[in-house]
Amino acid sequence: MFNAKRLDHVTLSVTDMKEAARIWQRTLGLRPDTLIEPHGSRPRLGSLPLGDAFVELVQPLAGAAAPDEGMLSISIEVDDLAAAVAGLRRRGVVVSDPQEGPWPATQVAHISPKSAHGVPIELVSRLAGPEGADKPEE
Amino acid sequence: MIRRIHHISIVVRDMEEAFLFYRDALGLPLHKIAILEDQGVKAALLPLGESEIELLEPIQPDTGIARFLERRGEGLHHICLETDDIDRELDGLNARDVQLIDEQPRLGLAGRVCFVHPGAHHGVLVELAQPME
Repeated sequence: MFNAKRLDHVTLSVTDMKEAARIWQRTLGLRPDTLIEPHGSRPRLGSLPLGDAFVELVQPLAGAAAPDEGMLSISIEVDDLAAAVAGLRRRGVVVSDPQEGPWPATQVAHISPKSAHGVPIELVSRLAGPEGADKPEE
Repeated sequence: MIRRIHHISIVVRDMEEAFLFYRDALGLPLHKIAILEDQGVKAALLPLGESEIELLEPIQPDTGIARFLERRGEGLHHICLETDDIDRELDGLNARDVQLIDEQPRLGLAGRVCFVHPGAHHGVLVELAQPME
């Protein structure tokens, strides 16, 4: 049985992470709690906590093909990622195999926007509690 | 003060088609469905944790949502943030010269709402909502 627990985060594409974080703090008082610097093929990531979810800021790596600034995707937490992927595939939804996620202690799978009415959706399962998983890797 | 993500809004071509994915495949319950005459849309809210997914289907041509669908196709439209005091939020935004779409709160599906111009948040359309209990 598919169990979508909650909206985990919404991802915004930005060209300048620090400037974007400064803007959200100035306009609406949202404070960034973590910032992960790029390492390997991973982009710069920031999070602005909001209730039981967060706004994720993603700054593409220099030289990488950058999407337009704006809303990029949403992420939904599930209990059992493998079961969720299998259940969606039985209904004809195009979804990737589970893989390690960009945040520590997460596994993710990606639903094709073609299956989700134009919305890239990430399914995420957290290996530890959200508090532990949200801390940056130093 | 901003408390949580109230909803994420998605423009779809056909609500019944979209239900096949969001309600039936993802398993989200259908909380509310309404026609918003002033915006020319049919809107559905599907709870997801403390937040909701809002599906918007244009039902009249030449509205903002209809034009979005024509130009960009189906997809993410805006993020709605819940505040406990929308008047105070608007005062703060005005004091900081933040570009607004609505100068005054109006009634929406989520309560008293106003839209902030996407130019204020690097291309992201933000709705603020103070639910009415």
